[in-house]
Amino acid sequence: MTPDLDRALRELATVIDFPPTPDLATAVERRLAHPPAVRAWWPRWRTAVLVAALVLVLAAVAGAAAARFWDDVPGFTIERVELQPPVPAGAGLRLGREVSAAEAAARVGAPTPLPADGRLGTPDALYLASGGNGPRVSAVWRPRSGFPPLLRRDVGAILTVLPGGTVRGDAANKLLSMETDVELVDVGDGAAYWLSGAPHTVIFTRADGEIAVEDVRLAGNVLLWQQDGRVLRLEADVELATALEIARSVR
Amino acid sequence: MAPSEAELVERARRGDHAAYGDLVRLHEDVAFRTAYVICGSAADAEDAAQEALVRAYAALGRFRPGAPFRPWLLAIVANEARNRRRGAGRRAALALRATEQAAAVPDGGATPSVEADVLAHDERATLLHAVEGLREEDRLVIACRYLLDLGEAETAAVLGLPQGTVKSRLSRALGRLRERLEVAPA
Repeated sequence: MTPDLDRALRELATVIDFPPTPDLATAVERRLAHPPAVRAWWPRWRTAVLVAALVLVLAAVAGAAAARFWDDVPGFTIERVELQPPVPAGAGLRLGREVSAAEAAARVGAPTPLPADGRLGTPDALYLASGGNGPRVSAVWRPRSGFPPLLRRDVGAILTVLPGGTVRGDAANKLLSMETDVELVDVGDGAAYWLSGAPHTVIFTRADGEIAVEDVRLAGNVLLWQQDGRVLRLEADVELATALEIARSVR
Repeated sequence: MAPSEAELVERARRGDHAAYGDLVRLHEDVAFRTAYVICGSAADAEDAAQEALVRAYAALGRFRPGAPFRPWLLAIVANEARNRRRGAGRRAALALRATEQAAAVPDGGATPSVEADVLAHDERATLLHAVEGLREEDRLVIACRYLLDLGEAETAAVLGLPQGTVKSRLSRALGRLRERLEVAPA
């Protein structure tokens, strides 16, 4: 092969934009810790039919004899299957690794700022992901009153806290050419934007604080603001007024 | 000191889930990307890679101690990804794109001009388009060797081919890629 093509392909490899790798290790560990119940070779509905038939037979004989018969049926067991462990809110959204509040605080060096507004309450799950500027923490709430599911996922709101960076108005203005409405709003201690509309355009902030458009995540409305030297991003299918109330309660 | 891969494998074989999790962390990037170039969809690749990693744990008893772990793992991932793609009944497209950012300038290198940067970007886009237009077996062997930077043995494991066949298939694939580039509009 020509060295040029070889070199060009090697250079191409350095700039290929693969989708971000999901947190497979945590998902695999969770599956290994909670293996699904083994499916019986004998379909459960057949078991139910057989049980019903046996009950009818049993009803026709004396109780004591029936009890003995029941004990003597070979190879017939009733399997008790445990409920599957609940999947944490936000699992599969590639928000990083699920962590405790203590671990998130230890990694970031400060407690995760959370809304004091009682409509959301305590997050159902916290996730930690590495970013170019440092660790990024996402708090996830399941759907609840006033916070409907985003894209039919079991998620009602996500608050992401990015370390450092600023929200830049000139970057936000670029979004105006897309089908996303960008509104300058007053919250936090710097520029803040309310991004709504375009159900399939998803906005995120890069580690350096610039706004960018990425793959679809949940496509809720997004409030982006700065607070105490951090960039915060709230995504939920709510009106601006609600989002602002939630944001202003973040401590 | 962090345990070696061989130690993690041994602990995982004895049923240590955390050790297996650490092992997966070492290889999850390449596992996901391998599944992605085969499936052509991030969601399918995630499902395939996760399923394969769980299956690989169950199959650890059949892993020969001392053998290279990554090709063995990638073979399982690739197999699962192929099954998933067949199940979906569609041809996978690479759906890759080059980042807008130029490649990092090597230390001491001159910063390229904007024009040079744009030209390089166009050339990369043309090359990527040509790779994506290749037939599947050509595309996959090029993706394995160049885009995933897999060695010959790993490529052979992923594609389920003898190592010698990888060499000849790559050579033919590069020939066809060159032909496509020669007829591609400038």
